[in-house]
This record gives sequence, structure tokens and C-alpha cells, in this order.
Amino acid sequence: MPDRGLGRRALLALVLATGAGCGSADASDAQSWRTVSSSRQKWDEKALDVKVEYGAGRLTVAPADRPLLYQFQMRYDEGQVVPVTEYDRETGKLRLGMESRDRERGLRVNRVRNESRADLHLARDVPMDLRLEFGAGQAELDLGGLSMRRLRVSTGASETRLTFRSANLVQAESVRMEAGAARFEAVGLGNARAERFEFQGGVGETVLDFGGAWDRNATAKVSMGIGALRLRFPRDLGVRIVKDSFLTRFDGSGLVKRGGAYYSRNWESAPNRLTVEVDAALGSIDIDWIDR
Amino acid sequence: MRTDTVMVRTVLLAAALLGAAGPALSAQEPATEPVRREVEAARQEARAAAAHEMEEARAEVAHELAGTRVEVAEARREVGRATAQARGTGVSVLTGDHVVGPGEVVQGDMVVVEGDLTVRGEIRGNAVVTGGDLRLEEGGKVLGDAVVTGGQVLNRGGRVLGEMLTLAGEGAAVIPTAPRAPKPPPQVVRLSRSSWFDDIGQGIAGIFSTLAFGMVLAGIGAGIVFYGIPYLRAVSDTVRKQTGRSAAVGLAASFLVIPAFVLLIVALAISIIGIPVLLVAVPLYPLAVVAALGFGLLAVAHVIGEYTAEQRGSFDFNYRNAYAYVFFGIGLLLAPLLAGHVIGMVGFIGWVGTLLKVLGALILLAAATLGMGAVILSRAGTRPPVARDFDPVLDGDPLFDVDADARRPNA
Repeated sequence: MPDRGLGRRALLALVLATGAGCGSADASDAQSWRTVSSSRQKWDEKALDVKVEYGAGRLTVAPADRPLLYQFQMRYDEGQVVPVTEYDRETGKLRLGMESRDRERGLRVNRVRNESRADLHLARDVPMDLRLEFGAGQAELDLGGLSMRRLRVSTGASETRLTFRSANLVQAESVRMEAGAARFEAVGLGNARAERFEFQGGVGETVLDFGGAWDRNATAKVSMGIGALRLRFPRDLGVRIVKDSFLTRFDGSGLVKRGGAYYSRNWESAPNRLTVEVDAALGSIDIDWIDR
Repeated sequence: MRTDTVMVRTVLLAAALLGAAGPALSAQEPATEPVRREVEAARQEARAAAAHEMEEARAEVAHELAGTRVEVAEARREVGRATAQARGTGVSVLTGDHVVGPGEVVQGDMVVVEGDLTVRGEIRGNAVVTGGDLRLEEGGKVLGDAVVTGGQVLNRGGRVLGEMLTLAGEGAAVIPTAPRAPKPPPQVVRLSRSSWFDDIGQGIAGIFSTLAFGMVLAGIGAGIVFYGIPYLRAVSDTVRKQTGRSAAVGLAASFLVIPAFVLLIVALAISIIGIPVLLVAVPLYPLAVVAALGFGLLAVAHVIGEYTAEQRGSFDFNYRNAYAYVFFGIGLLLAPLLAGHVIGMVGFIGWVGTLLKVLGALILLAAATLGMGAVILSRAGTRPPVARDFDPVLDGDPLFDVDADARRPNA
């Protein structure tokens, strides 16, 4: 297998180079758009370790409808970026995304942000760890209905919406979210069925919606730099908030302060409980309650 | 070729024998019976000889044909072996449509150019199609990757072990046909981590920018010492004697500077008389704030230099003067920044450099705030906090203090 791998890669590179060569002239000055589609069928995969690196553009991630391990389609400017599709069957490591052609100068975001696009569909029933690094642009991540064990989403200057429309097929260990100067919205985090949530925000507006089908107790650490943080909880969830903030307005409606923490009224009787540690510098923290 | 030659030779021999006997028989028509018998015997002998020759020729031809068939079969076997070997280790490149039928197994890669590839059998390498579609029918199998450029992978029940990859272009490079409005300069997002050389470059740039800032401050400071030493001393004395008040006023001013600006604009805008003043006040206000910050920073630098000289106990005339105070103070204020840039170039302790740079920036901010408070309290140096003690070294020298005579206690 290894001896064939080299030849295979060389062959693919040759074909891709031949195909790409048609429009590569003056690629540095003019934009030459290409669409690459990569997918794999499921065989006997036990787990998947997915890493998606997407510099700029519009990105969507959703569960796959067909029996595929993954399906990735990307429209990109050939003069600026190179598509990346790497998979190691032995280790289950899957790497998808784009790399800048000019590593020194980086990616000229304005040129590709508006027209670049990538759509990723992932297998529902293969347990996976997903690391998603997103630079600038818009991201729509619907990760409900997957078998997510660990999730880490890092965004830069972007507008990101992370949703769990349906319940995760397995209980997740952790969901970690990092946002730079961004608008970040996570909806239905309860459906993630995670034991631990973490959010680190820089500057911007953040909404963390913990709605969904809760079936366990969990903790959440929320660290916010400068900006507005809105936390949404379902009414039947027991919520405890420990706040450490500086120059931050806190609207704790529906919560009762006891000791150094804020408790929901159903804390003692709730079937599932969530403890949230909030650390915020400048801005505001608002609490909303979701009626089912 | 040899077979033809033997046959021709046999026919010619028979013809020669028959031709030689014919004329002899016709010339001797009235010959006797014994002669006729001899002729007949000769004819039979000639026929037998010709038949024998013919038989030998036929045998020879048959033998040669058999050899040729063996050679052809051998050649075919060689071609078969070579083809099988080529498929097992290399690439089969075909043009036009091609079908891998049910039960057919292709050992290596298969490349189809300008045509569709239909797979009903098995390809044990990669299936590559350029300028066509790859059709995976029921039972079709590709054990490598399925790669298509200029077409698509149409899967109707086939299996691919590797990656299914399609690449499509969108025609020629897109060049704007109409001139567009100039775009803002592109943002740069570094996807790769900065290298050691980047750290050095940033460090050198930081050192130069800090030195340039220091030289500008020193130039302005020298000008103030030369032209306005009393004002500088008054602010400097305010910093020393009313440090707490100066800091509080400076902090309050830094918070109020923008609301005060807005208030000023509103107040001037609602009055008819104020509108012309507004035109002057809008550009002058930010300038005044910057000037206050700079003047205050230089006053703090002066204090640092003066205090250091006092602590040293050195009253050397060459060094104990306002120029030296200001220059020394500026150097001391910028030292953490410079050290931060230098240490930041060393990769593994770069974080110490970052800490020092942050510390340096905070020190500068604090010094400017404190100084601005002193500038406000002393009304830009026109109101000294208290009467300054007479300094025989400095105040006695008109070069450094024009009002020395007036301020001499016994004057």
C-alpha cells in the first residue's frame, strides 16, 4: 500500500495540475475560480478526527444525507489558495480546507471573502472529533444529528452561527468555542449532550443558547473580553451562574443570588443542571429564558 | 517464399519433360510399337518424378507453415505477457469512451482522456477521467481514487475505496471588463505561524520606531528647555510636589476629554457667536490635548532626570542641567519598551519581551496622564505650586533660568 500511495499522489497531482493549468495564467492578477469536490464512501471506519481550516469565505457544515464519510465542495480562487483534502485511513485523520499559495504574505482576505464558498457534509453515524478553524467571513455550522465526541470551533473576524438542530447521537465530552472580533451565535447547545462547554470571546456580540434535549449535568466556562453576551437557558434546566466581571452590566432576571452565585428557582428540583462560570471585562451580560 | 520456389521448380521440370517428348512423338508417327512403349515409359517416369517433386514440395510447405504458426502463437503469448505486465505496474491510458465490463479486472491505474469511463468490473488502481464522466455502475469497484476533471462522478451503486475527487473550472480567468471603484487595501490574515526571522524583523522595527519616538521627544524637549524652561520647571515642580493631585486630575481629564469636547461643540453650536469659534475650536482642541500630554510627559521625564541626579549626589555642572534631566528621563521612560523589543527577538523568551512592551506602554501612559494633570493644575506652567527653592548652580546661570535674578531670595 505505501508504495502505491506515492504513485497515486503523483498521478493525482499530475491530473490536477493539468486541469488547473488551463486557467493559471496571470493568476496573481486576475481571479480564476475553480470548484473542487471531494468525498469518500463509508467502509469500516470506527472514528474520524476531522480538522477543517478555512481562511476566508462562506462555510457551511451539515450532516450528510447520503452514506458518505464526508463530502466537501469548495469554490476557490486558484491564484490565491490551494484546496486541501487529506485522509489517512489508518488513523482516521481527515484534513480539509484551504492553504494560501503565498505563505509569507498570507491570504488577501478581501479578494476571496465574498466569493469563496465551501460546503462540508459529514457522516452521521461515525463518532468524530471536529476541529474547525475559520478566519474571516460567514460560517453556518449545523452539527446536530452527528456523532460528535469533541468539538472545537475557532473563528476570527467573522459572523458565525453554530446550531445543533437535533440531538447529538453520542454524548460529547467537550464543546469548545473561540471567537475573535466576531458575532458568534451558538443555538441548541443542549442538543450537543456535552459534559463541558467552553467559550472564549474577544470583541463582539455573542449569543449562547443552551436550549435542546438535556440528558445530563454540565458545566460551562464563558470568558468574554469586550462586548455583549446573551445567555439563553430552557426553563426546565437548573442553572447556576458564578460571575466574575469588571465594568459589566449583568441582567440576572429569573435568577436568585445566594452566596457568590446566581441560581435559577428550580435549581434543587431540576432533572439536569448547568453551572456557568462567567468572566467578563467590559460590556453586558443578559439572561433569557426559553419556554418549550 | 521457399514454398513458392519449390512448387515453381517442380512445375517447370514437368513441363520440360513433357515438352521434350511431345515433338519427338509427332515426328516419328509411323514408328513401331517398341518405340511407342519406350515413349510411354518415359512419360510415366517423368510423371512419377514430377509427382515426387510435388510431394516433397508439399511436405516442405507444410513444415514451414507449421513453424510459422508456432512463431505467431509465441509472439501472441509475448504480447499478452507484456500487456499484463504493463497493466500490473503502470497506467493504461485510453482516449474516448471506455467500459470496464462485469468480471473484468484492471490491475493498475486507468486514465481515460476525452471520454466517459464506465466501470462495471474492478479497477485495482485509480480511475482518472479528464473531459468526461466516470460512471460507477452496480457492482463496479475502484480500489484507488476516482478523479474526474471536466466532468463528474456518477455513482449508480458502485464502490470507491479511495477519494472521489472532481475538479471543475469556470472558464478563463475573470478579468473585470469595466473599471471598478478602488477597493480598500486587503486585510492580511496570516495562516502560518510567524517564524524566527519575523520576530527579528519585528524587533528591529520596534527598536527603530522607539528610538525615533525618543528622538522626537528629545527634540521637542530641547526646544522647550531652550525657549520655555520656567514653564517646564513649573509643571515639573507640580508633578513632584503634587503628585497625587496631578495623577487624579490627569485620570479624570483622560475620561472627560471626549465628553468635554462634545459639550464644547454643542455649547458653541447652539449660539450664534459660538459658531465661528467652533470652526477654530474643533481642530484646536485635539491639538491642545496632544500638546498637554506631550508637555506633561516631558515634565515627568524632567522630574525623573532631576530626581536621579539628586539621588546620585552628583552636582556636576556638565550633567546637572535641564537638558540632561529631560534626555535622561526620556531614556529611562523608553527603556522598558526598548528592552521588550530586544528580548522579543529571542524566540523562546519572546513572552518576556511582550510583557516588557506592555509594561513600557503602561509606564508611558501613566507618565503622560500624570504630566497632563500637572499641566492642568499649573495652567501649562504659568502657576508654580509653591515658590521654588533657589538653586545656586542652576538658577544662578542665566542660560538655564532667565528669571533667576527675580527669584533669588535676597534679590
